[in-house]
Amino acid sequence: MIKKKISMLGSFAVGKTSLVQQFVRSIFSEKYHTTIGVKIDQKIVHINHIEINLMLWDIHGEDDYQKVKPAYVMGSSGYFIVMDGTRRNTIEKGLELQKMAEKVSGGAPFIILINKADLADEWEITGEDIKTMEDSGMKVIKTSAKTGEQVEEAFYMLTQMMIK
Amino acid sequence: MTALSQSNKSITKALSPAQLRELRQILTGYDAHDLDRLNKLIQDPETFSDEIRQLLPLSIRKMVQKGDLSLDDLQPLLEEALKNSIQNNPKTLADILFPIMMPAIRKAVSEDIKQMLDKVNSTLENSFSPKRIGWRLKSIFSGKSYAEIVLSHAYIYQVKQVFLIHKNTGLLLAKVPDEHEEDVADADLVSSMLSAIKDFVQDSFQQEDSELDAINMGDFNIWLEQGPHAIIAAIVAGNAPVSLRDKMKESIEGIHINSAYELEHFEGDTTPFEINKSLLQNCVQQEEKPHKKGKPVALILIGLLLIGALGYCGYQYWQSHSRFNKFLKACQNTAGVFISDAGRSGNVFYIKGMADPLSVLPSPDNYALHKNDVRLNLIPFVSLDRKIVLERAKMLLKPPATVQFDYSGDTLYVKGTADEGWLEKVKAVTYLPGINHLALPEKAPVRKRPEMRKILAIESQAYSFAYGIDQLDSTQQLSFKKLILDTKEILNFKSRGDSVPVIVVRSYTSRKGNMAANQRIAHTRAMRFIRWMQEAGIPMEMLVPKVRFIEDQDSGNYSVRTVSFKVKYVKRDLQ
Repeated sequence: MIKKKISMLGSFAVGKTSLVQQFVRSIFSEKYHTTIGVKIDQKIVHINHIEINLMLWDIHGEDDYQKVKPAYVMGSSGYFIVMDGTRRNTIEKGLELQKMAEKVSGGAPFIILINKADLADEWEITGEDIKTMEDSGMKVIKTSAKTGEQVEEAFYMLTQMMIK
Repeated sequence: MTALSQSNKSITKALSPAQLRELRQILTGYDAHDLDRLNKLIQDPETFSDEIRQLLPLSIRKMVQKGDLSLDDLQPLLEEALKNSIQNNPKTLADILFPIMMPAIRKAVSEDIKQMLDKVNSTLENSFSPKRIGWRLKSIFSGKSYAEIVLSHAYIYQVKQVFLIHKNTGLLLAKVPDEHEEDVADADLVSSMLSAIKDFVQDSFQQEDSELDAINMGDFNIWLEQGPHAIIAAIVAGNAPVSLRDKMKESIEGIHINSAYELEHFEGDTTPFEINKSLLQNCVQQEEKPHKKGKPVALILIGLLLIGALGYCGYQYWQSHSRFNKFLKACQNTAGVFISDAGRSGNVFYIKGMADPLSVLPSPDNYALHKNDVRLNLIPFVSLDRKIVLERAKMLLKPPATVQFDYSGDTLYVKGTADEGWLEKVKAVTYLPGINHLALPEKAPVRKRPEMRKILAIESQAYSFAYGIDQLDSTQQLSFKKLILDTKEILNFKSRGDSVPVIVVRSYTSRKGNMAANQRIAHTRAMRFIRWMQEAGIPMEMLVPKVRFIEDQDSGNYSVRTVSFKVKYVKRDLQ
C-alpha cells in the first residue's frame, strides 16, 4: 500500500478544516488543533487503480499567537496552501507558509486552494492576484467548503502531482 | 568668536523687539506662543510625563519593528523589575500566579498520591501471602535484594500492539499483530497522531538531545523507541519490565539494518517493511499473573460447613445420647424402679417401666437434659426393695428418733428404745409389704427421758414439818410451785394407751406414841397437800393420799412429819 503524508496550511479561519471535513475519515476531535496544533485525518484515493492512503495533517491556522511548527510539515509528500477568497491578506500569510513548507518538505508539490468560492461577491482576492500566483508556477484552485466544489478534485490533483 | 558676539550685539541693538520676534519665528518656525508652551512643557515634569506617556508605547513598538530595540535588550530590564517586585512584595506575584499554579500543584499532588496509593496497594497485595514469604526465602538464598525479587514478580503486562512508524512522515510502516482492515486504518491515524505528539513534545521543550520515550494514557502506556528513521511504538497495558525496552531497542536496530535504504528513501510504499514484522513480533510480550487453577472454593467452603454442621449435629446427638444413657442408668440404679424399655422417639427420649411411689427418681436437669426431652412412662407399683421397704416402714410406723430400723430377709428389726405406746402401735400393725416378721427389742423400751425427768423431779420433792406445824414455810412454798408445774407437765405428756398418771401423796409418820393420832395428823397433812394441789389446778382424780410409817421397810429414808410423792401410771378403769 502506498501511503503519503500531505499537509494543509493556511491562515487562521480560512476554512481548512471545513474544506476537508466531509471528504476525510477522522477519529480525532477538533480539540487537537488548539492543544498540539494539528489534527490527523485520512483520505483514501485511487489513482490508476492504485489505492493511495493519504494522511492529511490539518495544521492549525497560523496567527499572531500560534506559529506553525515546521516539524509538522516535515516529511510531507505534498501540501495544500489554503487562502480565504474574502480576505486578501490571507495571500501574504499563505505564501509565507508556502515558503516555509517548500523548505521543510524539500520542494514537495502543492496546490493553493482559494476557499469560499460560494461567496464570490465578497471576494477580495482578484483574478489578477490569482494570475500572479499562477504566473509564478503555482497551481491555484477555487474551492468551497460549503458546496464541496473542487475539493475532491484538489485531492486527486495533488495526489497525481505527488506520485509523478 | 568675539567678533561674532559683537556682531550679534550690534544686530540686537539695531532691531526692535518686534522685529527680533519676527526674525526668531522665521528662523525656528515657532512663534512666541509655541515656544512658551514648549518651555512650560519641559519645565513642568507632570505635563511633560503626560506628553511622553502618549508617545512612548508607539515609540517602543516602532523601535522594535525597525530593529532599534530588540526584546533581548528589554529582557534584563524586565527580569530585574520582576525580581525587584518579588523581593519587595512576593504576595502580589503569588496572587497573580495563584490561579495558574494551584491547578498544576493539585494535579501534581494528586498524581503523587495516586502513585503512592498504587505502590501501597501493590505492596499490600503482596504483603501477607505465602508468595511473599517465598520471595523472602528466594531473596535470602539467591543473594538478590528483596525489592529486586518483588519487582521481578510485579511485571504483569501485555503488549497489545506494536507500530513501526516512519519518523519523518509519521506514516505507519508496519504493525503487529495484524488485525482487521478497519483497525489498520485506525492504526494509520494513531501512528500519525503519535508522531505529531512526539513532534509537539520535542518541539515544545526544545530538547534536541532528548526524545519522547513514553506516553501515559490511563491504563495504557505507549513506549516509544526511536531510531534515526523509524520509531517503534508499543501499546502496553500494565506494568512492563525494562527488558521490553531492551527488546524494542534490538528490534529498531534490526529494522534499521534490514531496511536502511527503504527507510531513508521512503516514498510511501510500505510493502518492503513487511519483512520486519518478525522483529516487531519480538516486542509483543506479555506476562500474565499465574493462572490459578479455579478451585471450587465456594464448594469446598460449603462442604466444610456441611461437614462442620453434620459433625456438630452428630456430636450433639452423641452427647445427648450419652447424657440420656447416664440418666437411664441412674434410673435403673434407683431403688424401687424397674425399667422395661427405653430409647429415642424422634427428638424425645422415653423410658417405660414401673416405679414405687416411694422411689426417688433422678432429675433430668442433673444430666443436662431438659424435662421435655425425656418422657417417663412409669406405672406405680409396690417394690420390695430393701430401701423401699425400710422407707415404707418409716413412713407408716413413724418411729421415734431413738429407734432404728433394719431389714433383712423378710424381718424388720427394730433397734433402740421407744415407749410402750409406740411399741404397741407397731405390734398393732398387721401388714407391711415385704415384712413378715417384726423383731422388737428384748428389753422394754424405757419411758421417754423428758417425762422421766419430770417424774423424778416430782418424786425427789419432800416437805418436812416441825412438830405441830402443818403449813408451808416460804422455801417450801417455792418448791411447791415447782411441784405444781412438774405435775402439770406430766399431765401434758401423751397418755400411754389407756394408762393415766396418778400422784400418790405420801405422808410419813411414826408408830411411836399415839399411833392413831399420828396416822390422823399424817393423813391431814396429805389431804392438805391434795387440797393445795387441787387449788393449783391439779385434777382431784389423779391425787391419792397415803400415810406411810417410817418404821416400814418401803418407807425409804424419809423422816417423820414428811410428805413426798410417787408417780404411777394406772389404767383408766383402775383409777
